[in-house]
Amino acid sequence: MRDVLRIVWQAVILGFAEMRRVYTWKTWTFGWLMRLLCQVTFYALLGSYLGDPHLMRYVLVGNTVGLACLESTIVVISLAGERAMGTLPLLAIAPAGHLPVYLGRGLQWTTTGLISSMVGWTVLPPLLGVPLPWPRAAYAIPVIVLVVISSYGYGCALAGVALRLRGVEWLVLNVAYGIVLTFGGTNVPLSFWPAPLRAVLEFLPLVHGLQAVRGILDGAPVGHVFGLIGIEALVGAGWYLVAWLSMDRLVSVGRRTGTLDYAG
Amino acid sequence: MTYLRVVWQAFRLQAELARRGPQHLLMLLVTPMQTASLLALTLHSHRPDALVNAVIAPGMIGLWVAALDYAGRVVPEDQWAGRFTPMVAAPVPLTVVVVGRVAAVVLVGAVAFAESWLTAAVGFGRVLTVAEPGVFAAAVLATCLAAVGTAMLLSGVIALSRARDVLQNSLSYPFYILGGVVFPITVLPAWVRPFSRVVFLSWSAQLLRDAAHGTVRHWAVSLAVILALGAAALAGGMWLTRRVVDGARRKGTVGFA
Repeated sequence: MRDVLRIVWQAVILGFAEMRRVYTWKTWTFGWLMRLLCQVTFYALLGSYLGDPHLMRYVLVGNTVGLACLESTIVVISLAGERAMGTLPLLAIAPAGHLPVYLGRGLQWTTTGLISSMVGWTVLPPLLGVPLPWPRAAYAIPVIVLVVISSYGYGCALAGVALRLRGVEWLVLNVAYGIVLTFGGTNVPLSFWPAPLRAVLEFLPLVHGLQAVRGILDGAPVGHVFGLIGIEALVGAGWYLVAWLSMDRLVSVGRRTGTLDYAG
Repeated sequence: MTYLRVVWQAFRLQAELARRGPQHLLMLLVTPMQTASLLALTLHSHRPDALVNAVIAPGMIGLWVAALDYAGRVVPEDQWAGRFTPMVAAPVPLTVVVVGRVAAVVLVGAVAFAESWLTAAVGFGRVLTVAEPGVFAAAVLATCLAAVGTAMLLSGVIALSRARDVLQNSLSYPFYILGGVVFPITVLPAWVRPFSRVVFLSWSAQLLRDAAHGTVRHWAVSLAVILALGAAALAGGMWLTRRVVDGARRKGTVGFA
């Protein structure tokens, strides 16, 4: 366990070193973070234009929690980058095994996803004139952390696709979070969509966590909220299992056929 | 070789490059989801009058993404791929080549208009009709031309910048808000609106919505402003691209990736 934690820590250090290649704290704050906040504001203003402050708050909450999902899935790019650089075999021969290393490869995005979401959570509602009910809004924060974790598992699972096909990582990433943010209840309730689609949506991250967040804000019964949290955790665990199986197979097939170091 | 022929050849080159990169499909995959998102919100809030906004916005966003993400990478990608040196050495100015390539990218972006219309018709059973098709078509054409100019400007800015990824990642949603692509700019605070007026998207979006509703007033003025903003951006972009080339020649960094 200690070894795994050490790997996780090293992965976070590596991830942030990689981020510093692109961003300084100023360009991250005034570039990337501002863009994410504008994304939430864009939908919130549309909600205000189409409806009333109630709809605006609904959309604002959905999209703010959605940021946690969006950033966590960027692990797809980090893992595909290892393929492009031909460094997958080096990670695969790590004494601790390839799984903790692979699964830790985009952990920096969970940190920034949580920060972005938290900034949106605290700053945007009062700024846009639809304040959240504190302290109840604070109780939702652990659920947002859970959304980050389950979405990261979803991203790792889909990274398996990006690792197998050449040059599709941006497609996979955008479709991955696009589906969740479009259909997962960020702008309209799930009941808006047809029943067959709703059945599929049950297996996406964010969906139940966001419902739990809305439940907390609306003062729903504790049992109901915990039920939703449990389902979100189960969905997340399912995606980690898919990621685990996918990467395990990738490495075993790659070892057998000698293709693990192909730079995709 | 006339400049027009160079533009056409550059257009073909970009089309060939795009055909080989699956990442160029990204915009076409994202547009239906964006349309679904905006339409769902519009229909859920029982605002059939805003249906036009939800269908037109993804087209505008598609153009912007094309200008920012793809056209913006034209010069840097040439540098990475080693094409920059022969391009600079060619007897025709690089700016003309970049205009042709940027135009190809923007044309793909314009497909988003058709895609969002199809998504609304097939996915939601809402067929958008246009009350003033002549003005609408002229507005789409002017918008595409302005997008080419803006893409040229963004290409120059991104080529000169040391924070290319940051710029490309950041300049999307702020401009969708400023450009009022999905809601009128009257939704924005009064102090923001003057900034909106220098973004061609705001004029285009309003003209397209008005043409669809049949409530157009002063369409010629709107078209003239869209084209003028596009022309100004094009001039700025050509100047910046020339600066990139001159700077690289002077410093001996033409071959640098």
